[in-house]
Amino acid sequence: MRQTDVDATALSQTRPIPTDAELMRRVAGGSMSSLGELVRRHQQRVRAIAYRMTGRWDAADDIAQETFLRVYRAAGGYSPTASFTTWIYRIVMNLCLDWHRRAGREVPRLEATNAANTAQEPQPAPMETLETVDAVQRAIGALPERQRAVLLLHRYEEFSYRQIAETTGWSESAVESLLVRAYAGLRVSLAEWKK
Amino acid sequence: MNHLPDIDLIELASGRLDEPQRQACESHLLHCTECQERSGAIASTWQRLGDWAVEAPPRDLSGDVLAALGSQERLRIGATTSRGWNVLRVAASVSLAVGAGHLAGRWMRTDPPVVAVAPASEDQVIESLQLNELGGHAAADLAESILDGPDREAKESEG
Repeated sequence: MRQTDVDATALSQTRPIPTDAELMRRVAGGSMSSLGELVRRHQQRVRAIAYRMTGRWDAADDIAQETFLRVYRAAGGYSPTASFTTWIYRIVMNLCLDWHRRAGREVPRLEATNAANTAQEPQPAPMETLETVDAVQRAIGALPERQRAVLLLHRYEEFSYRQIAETTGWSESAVESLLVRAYAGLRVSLAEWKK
Repeated sequence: MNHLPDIDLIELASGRLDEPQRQACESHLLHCTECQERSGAIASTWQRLGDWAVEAPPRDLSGDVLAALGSQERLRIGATTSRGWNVLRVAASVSLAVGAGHLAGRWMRTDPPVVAVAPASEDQVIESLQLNELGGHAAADLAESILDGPDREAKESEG
């Protein structure tokens, strides 16, 4: 290994990775590279949750882009009292709920690109996998918007119901109630599909 | 017997109960068949939902976000610049009117042979109004506009 490689390695090891809060502080100071870093760190999760809420990748990408634009605009007033993740998810979920209000109630359809990525483990038959995923997606899509929102955050983003309350701004008791009803509704929907 | 609330069973299925809570739930489940059935149903639903795995197609939004911010900034600057030009035109017109009045007054007060004042050249307008600070073609364009005055639009319409 050359001396320059050793120096670069040592430098990267000693240089601390900036936290999200630090990047936000730099964005507030005008650092576009810091904004780019925030985008790269969080875009996959933001896009994924937006896709689960809308059922469409084009809508998900539009929402994700708008999310980060709002992050930039709000950087000057951002306070790290709440975690950055909680804060950005609040923006995403509000945009998703707005999207639904504009689009009207619509069960999201399974897209071909998603079907190709769902087989994580060996399955008995590809068609059965697609049907299962389709059933799950339809069942979730049929939930009322607020139930769907808390369900997605809980099941796929690994938020506790207290974290969901903090993200959405809804009370813990409201989140608890929504979560219980969402799971109950899904249990019925998926049991009917199995028949 | 008090049964376990659904939210606790949901959190148990998700693995997010702390250790004391988890142990309390599992201890109750050992002796309560009704809660066992509810817990099983919730856990089954939890597992089924895991079938829907989502992997976002590869895409880097950072370029799009930065480009969008750049476009918004150019629009903002464009609007600001347009207003600035209008202010400059008004200021130039006022300055020219004052200067022209001064020249006319000098011409009228002169007794022996009157020397006609040649029409101001573009360079003279630029220098008198200090338009050279605008740089590029802006100074020349503005000077030309001032010199042509009301006849400019007529000339342009003639093609």
